[in-house]
Amino acid sequence: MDFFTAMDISASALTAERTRMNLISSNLANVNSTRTAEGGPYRRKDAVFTATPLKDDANSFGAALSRATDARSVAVTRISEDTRPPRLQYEPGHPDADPQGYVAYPNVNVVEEMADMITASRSYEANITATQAAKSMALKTLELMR
Amino acid sequence: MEITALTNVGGVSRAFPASEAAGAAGAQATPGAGFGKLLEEMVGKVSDLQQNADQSIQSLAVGESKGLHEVMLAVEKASISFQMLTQVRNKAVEAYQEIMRMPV
Repeated sequence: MDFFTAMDISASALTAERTRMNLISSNLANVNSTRTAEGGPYRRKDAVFTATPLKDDANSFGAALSRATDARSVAVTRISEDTRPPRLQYEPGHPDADPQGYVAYPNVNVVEEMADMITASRSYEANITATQAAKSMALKTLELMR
Repeated sequence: MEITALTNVGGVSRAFPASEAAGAAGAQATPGAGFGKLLEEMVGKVSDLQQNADQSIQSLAVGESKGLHEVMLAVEKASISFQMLTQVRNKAVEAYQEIMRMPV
């Protein structure tokens, strides 16, 4: 059924937004992390979204129709690291301070992360609403038979 | 022109093989094979979706990595397709009763 295509696309968006939410949580949690496994302070991470063609697993009418309408699902294809310089703070007593007494803190801005978090959660809600709309359309169509 | 293009898809004609068979073979087609087969395939697909939903609920419950929303969508898909099947069944039974009520 073609209503399931809409649900599949929304599901891919939900997965993508969840990945983004995980990265925002990671950025917020590591706002003061001065050490990482790679060395140096933590770097802010962001997800790169890519529009991908639908999986055409079935040769059904619905799959052909969705190919014809050019509908695309979304996928996270890359996790990019922010290249902005780390935030330097004068703390001579800190074990990670450089010879001048400055500690390199992650390039994470809490306010920016909060704004991103609002965007992510609103996008998630939008996709949930799209799923519910597809579902109620399918159920309304079934009522035709009554 | 749009309608002739759609006949190339194959999904529609494959969904109703009985009408083609009846048109070609006429009265020699075995009675009940078309709709019965269609119904059987439908029940099979609905059953697959139900099992899929069951498995995803189970994998979520035991803590395997499976998204909550994927489970919810699997359950919704199973529910919608089951309602579709119920409607088809209701319609078939209704048609049968309508014929049985017919005075001969």
